[in-house]
Formats: sequence, structure tokens, C-alpha cells
Amino acid sequence: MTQTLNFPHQPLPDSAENLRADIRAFLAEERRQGSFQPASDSWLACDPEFSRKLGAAGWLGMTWPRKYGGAERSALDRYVVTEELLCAGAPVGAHWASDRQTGPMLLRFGTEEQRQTFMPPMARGECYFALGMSEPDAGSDLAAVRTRAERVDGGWRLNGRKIWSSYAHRAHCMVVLCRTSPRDDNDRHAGLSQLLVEMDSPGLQVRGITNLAGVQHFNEVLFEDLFVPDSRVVGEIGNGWQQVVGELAYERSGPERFLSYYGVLAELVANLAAGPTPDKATLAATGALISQLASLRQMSLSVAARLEAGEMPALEAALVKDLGTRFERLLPEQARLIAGANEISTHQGEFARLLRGAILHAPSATLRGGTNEILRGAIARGLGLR
Amino acid sequence: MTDISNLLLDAAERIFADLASTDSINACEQGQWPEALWTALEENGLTRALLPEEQDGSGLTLHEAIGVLRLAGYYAAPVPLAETWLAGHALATAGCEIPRSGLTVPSLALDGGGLGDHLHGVPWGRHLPVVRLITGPTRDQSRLQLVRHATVAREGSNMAGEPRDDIDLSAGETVEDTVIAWSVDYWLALAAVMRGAQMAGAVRRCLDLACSYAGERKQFGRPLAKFQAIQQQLALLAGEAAAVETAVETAAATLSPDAGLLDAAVAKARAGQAVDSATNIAHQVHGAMGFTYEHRLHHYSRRLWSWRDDFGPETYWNRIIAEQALQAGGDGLWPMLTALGRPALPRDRPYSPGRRAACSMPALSTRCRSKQS
Ligand SMILES: Cc1cc2nc3c(=O)[nH]c(=O)nc-3n(C[C@H](O)[C@H](O)[C@H](O)COP(=O)(O)OP(=O)(O)OC[C@H]3O[C@@H](n4cnc5c(N)ncnc54)[C@H](O)[C@@H]3O)c2cc1C
Repeated sequence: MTQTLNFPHQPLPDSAENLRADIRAFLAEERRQGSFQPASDSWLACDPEFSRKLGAAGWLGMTWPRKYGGAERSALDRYVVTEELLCAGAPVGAHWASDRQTGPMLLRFGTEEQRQTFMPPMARGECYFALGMSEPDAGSDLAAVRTRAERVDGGWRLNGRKIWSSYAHRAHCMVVLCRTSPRDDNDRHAGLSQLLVEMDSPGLQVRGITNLAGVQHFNEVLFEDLFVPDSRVVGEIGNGWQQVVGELAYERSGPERFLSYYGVLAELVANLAAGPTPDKATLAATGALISQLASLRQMSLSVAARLEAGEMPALEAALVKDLGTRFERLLPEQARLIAGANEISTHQGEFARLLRGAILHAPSATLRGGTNEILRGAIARGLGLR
Repeated sequence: MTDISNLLLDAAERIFADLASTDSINACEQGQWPEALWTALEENGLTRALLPEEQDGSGLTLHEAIGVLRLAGYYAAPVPLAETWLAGHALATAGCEIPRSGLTVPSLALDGGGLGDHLHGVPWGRHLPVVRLITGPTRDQSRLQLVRHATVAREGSNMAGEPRDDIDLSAGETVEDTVIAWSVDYWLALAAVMRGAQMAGAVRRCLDLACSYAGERKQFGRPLAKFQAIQQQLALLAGEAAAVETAVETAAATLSPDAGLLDAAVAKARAGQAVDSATNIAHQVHGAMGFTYEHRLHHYSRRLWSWRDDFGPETYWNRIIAEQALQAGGDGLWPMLTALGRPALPRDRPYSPGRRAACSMPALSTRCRSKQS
């Protein structure tokens, strides 16, 4: 049997499990105080005050070195905190990108000064980042970005525009993927770089885009002769592509790829438990959602443990994201059918509220962070098909 | 993995590759007992992997040994290996002598395996002594029976041509009738994980067969594997294979008489859920060739279509999961989920399973019992 797929059983260590009670107590207290209302897709729900509370409690930048505001905990500790936050439907959108992506990226590629400047406030939940990758003509084909930076005295002059930038209107900074040398058709991934841009820089304009749920979540961001000093280049000039794709396994296999609409399932179970004993078909259908979720979580934990051990299970991570996000599309639809067969209201009450949020957001689950079609292309490559 | 489990895995792979050939699988589907294959498995200790060393076994835990069953599924090995393991494991636990022959168990998720002494669809029932469990005297204990020379009421087979016989135990010779400190739920959970492991292997083989076929078969001047539509389908199939393997692996690591039953439920449920999509994709990619008797894909697809119904189909296990969830309630569901996959067997006690530290799971539903009364 070929060993291309490898998901060893990796239970969370006790040190990580021991955190669970703490974060649950924190969340219960926040709920009691009414500081948030559980939401579907809460990693897209922005609440700076809540982010600051998480920072103060030490739940942000958990894995980073202490000198940059972190707690030097393991990624598995962070996993526990993250999954508890997501299941509670807590608003973690404000700091999401900086905590998951930008902080680790600066640790890997940033200068000492960049880390000293940005990471401590990120860990306090006070400094938020937007991710400037997609452009109108560069979606799945990210290497087609046209935003360009030209060399000028002491830095770079940036022109172009980004689109779909989540919370760019609330963020303090953005990491922009741009061309620093002209496109080379023989090596499309060459000549790309990452620049760290502060959102209040002259020459930067943010235009909100309202999503189908009626919320301004993402934005168009325009750069016009924006000056970026050399000190704000992230990593190496020309190495942008490698910096962006090198760590995809981290963002592909996390619990946010299958827990975004968890609240719908919990409310469904609560409603079924409160009503008359459901029939066998209802139980089987409900159980099917739970068993899928349970197996996804084990897959995700397995990848997390391998990452923590220094491996790079890219294929496995891509499989988790594809399966997980397809589960996210399935969950609200199945929950709705089960609710309908059991006279659970889809018009009023907590289940209905979360279900609507989930149905309205679900189309984005299989798009954001790279579409499932592209992901499956990567899986096919991992299987040796292309 | 221990050295001994690696040795067994290597031996198993060699034996299956040699002796579970297309011809021998086909011969077994015509009713032949796989003499050469079974003897090789016996001689290499593979039929006694879970038994303690005093009983001439390898003393492996289910987690250490489960890879052998995955391989059995990967090679569609037409042998009652899971059945023999389960029956022997139970007999050893109850302190009984273990016959040298193969053994079988009822395949239905019912207390006692059927109605009274009448068991339906017993794997290889015409060839083997039957071991079964009946609930009692308490909820956590069962009656363990070993019956040989029972009456074969009807010879039958499943869709894969594996013997599935109706057996009447009443006129048979009851060799053992004793009490075991296992619930029937645990017994069924063990059976489900073992069959689930075979399913994991068969799904994986569907993936491997489809990938290599797509690499060889050319249309429109290039291999099928170069077509994006095919790549997308194979990626979906890989997801199913990975999900089943992970669920089975987790359950094998956590299951013990007083814990991990829900992990077992998840494993068999997830395995069953994968079958439609996995077989669908594998067959679609193989075109008409995969619909022939000559091509071996059907050895795997027909087994998957059959095995998903053994020891409780996915609907059975999903209902049990849902009943537990409803008992836990909306707020209890997440703690129930995070308690899954926690370790069970302490390394220093390989045979008699230890207690799980994190949380002990209540007994599963009583549904399988009600049919009996
Ligand atoms: C909620 C949300 C938040 C986002 N936040 C950010 C952000 O903060 N920063 C950022 O930079 N981007 C962000 N994005 C953008 C996201 O990364 C892109 O949507 C994604 O990469 C796909 O690009 P696209 O939307 O242009 O679709 P396209 O690339 O135009 O694709 C459209 C369809 O065609 C398919 N397709 C495209 N190419 C192929 C191919 N070669 N083979 C087969 N099928 C193909 C796709 O799979 C998809 O189904 C966000 C998106 C969403 C929905």
C-alpha cells in the first residue's frame, strides 16, 4: 500500500487539553456579560474590543517568543483556543489575519525591527492586518498580480489595486503582494515581493464592498504612488511567491475549515433534544453530520501535530480543507432539512438566526483562501497525477 | 508502531500479495475455502495477532495490529480474519482455550447476533465455529458462547461472493458458555472498527487503482490523468480514503471496554458514508473496463457495498451518535466531540485494555438489545 496519505492518530497532549477549561471559562464569562452574540462564520466577525480582551488574557500570539509579546506555547495549545473560540461563535475576525498569518510570517521573514514594532501590539489584540493578495485579474491565478512597486530612493513606489481584502477598512496594516520586476512568462512566480503597508499612508484608498449578507466585510484597496520605505519590505525582494505559498499547510488545515457553522449543529441538537423523541431517519441524518465533523477534527489534529513536529504535510492539509469546507457547505443544508422534518422553526429563534447566517455565508467557504477546484488540483499533483 | 507489529505487517503484505491473487479471490467467490492463504496466515501468526503470548499470540493491541486488517481490505483477501480476531480476542479475555481453527461471529448488529439461536448472514458460517455475545447478567457483562457443528440452514453469500450463511445454533455443540466482562456494545464496536479497517483498505485500493488506470489509459492523445475533470474526481476520492483511514485509526487507538465506543461509531459510520462516493468515482474513472468481471476493481467495490452493512450500517452507528448527542444536549455536544480521540490503552499493558483518563463514555444505545426480547 502506498503511503501518500498519512494521518497518524495524534491526540492533543494534556498540556493543550488543560487549557480548554480556561478558555471555556473565559468564554462563559464573556457570554454572561453579553459581550458577544454567537455568530455563524465568526472568524469573519470583527470586534476590536473582544480582540483586546483576548490579547489581555494571553490568547493571541500564543506561539510567539515572549520578546515579541507571545507566550511561547505550542501550536497545539493555540489549536485548542482557536477551536473553542470558533465553536462559541466568538468574534475573532479583527485579529484573525495577524494572529494566524502575519505574525508567523514576520517571525519567519521579517526584520528584527518589524517584529519589535508590530508583533507586541498584535499579541495585545491592538494591531490588525489585512491580506493584500487578490486583484481584479488575479484570483485563482495569483501569479498574475499587476500591482507593482518601482525602486525609488530609500524604498519603493507602489501603484495598483487589491480586491476582496477582508477588513482592510478596520486594519492598521496590509501585506501587499506585488511585482518588483517585470513579468517573465518563463517564470511567472519570479519577481514578486511582499511589502508591509500602513493603512494611513498617503496614496492609499479603501473602498468598501458589501457582501451578499449586506455586510461590508471585504474591500478594494487602491495604491497611487504610495511610498514604502525599504524597512517595510517583508523578506527578500523577488521572493514573494515562495513566502506566500511556503506556509499554506498552516492555513489550510485549521479548525476554521470545518467549524465555521458549528453553532447551527449545536442548536439543531438542542432543538431536537428539547422536542419529542425524533424518528430514526432524523437521528441517522443528525449523526451523519456529527460523525463527519468528528472525523474531520481528527484529520485536522493529525496535521496540526505533524506541523508542530516540524513536518510539512501539504497534501494532507489540502485534503482537510477540501473535505472540511465541503462539509461547511453541506451542514446548513442538511440541518435545514432535518429541521423541516422535525418542525423546528427556520424563521425565529437561535437556530433560525444561525442557520440564516450560515446559508448566506456558505458560498464563501469553498472560495476563500483559494478555491476548492484549485485545491483539488494541488491534491492531484500530490497524488502524482500532474 | 512496535517491531513486532511491523514484522506482522510485512508478512501480511507479502502473503496477501502472493496468495490473494485475482484467481484465488475468484475461486473463493465460487465457494472454495482459501486453504493456502489461510494456512499462510496461520503459520505466520497473523490469525492470532491480538491473542496474548501465553495463548500463542503476538500480544498486540488493536491499534498495533489494525494495519493488518487494512491490508486485508487493500488486497480483498477472502478470509475471515477480522472475525477470527474478534472471536479469539473475546475467548482469550474470558479465559477460554482458543481453537486453532478460524472462527466466525454473527455480522448483524443485534444482541446475540440474531433471533434466538437463528443467526442470519454469518460470514463463512458453513466452515467455522461461531462465537457470539448475549447481554447479561449485568449491562457491562455478557454471555459468551462458542458453538461448533451448528446446522447450516441456508448457504448464501454477500454481493462480493463471500459466504454469508444462515446458521441454527440449537443443534450445535456448545463448547463454551461463560461470562465475559464486555458489553455487547463493545463487542459490536470492536467488530465495526475491524470491518472499518478492511473498508479503509478497500477504499484506498479503489484510489490507487483509479490513479494508476488514469495514468495508463489514453484518450484524446493523453492519459486520463491529465484531464482536469478526472483530477478533480480523484482528489475527492483521496479525501474519502483519508477520512476513513483517519477515523479507523483513531478508533483503533481509543477503543476499550469502557471508552472509545463513540470513536468506533464514528469510524464505521464514516467508512459507510465513503462507499458511495468512492466506488462511484473509481468506477467512473475506469469506464467500461471497470464494469467487467475481468478487471479487479469489482473485488473492492463489491466488498465495500457489502461490508458497509456488516456490524451495523452507517445509519445504525449514526443513530447511536445522535442519541448520545441529544442526551448531551446543545451545550454538551462540543464537550462530547472534544472527548473523542483521546488515548485509551496504556503502553505498558498491551493486552488487557486500560481505562481512559479523560472521560469515560456511557454505554451505547440499547437498541440492538430490543430486537432480541
Ligand atoms: C469571504 C472572502 C474573503 C476573502 N478575503 C481575502 C483577503 O482578505 N485577501 C485576499 O487577497 N483575497 C481574499 N479573498 C479572495 C479569494 O482568495 C479569492 O476569491 C479566491 O482566490 C478565488 O479567486 P476569484 O474569486 O477571483 O475566483 P476565480 O479565480 O475567478 O475563479 C472562479 C471559479 O473558477 C474556478 N477556476 C479558476 N481557475 C480554475 C482552474 N485553473 N481550473 C479549474 N477551475 C478554475 C474557481 O475554482 C472558481 O470556482 C476572499 C474571498 C472571500 C470569498
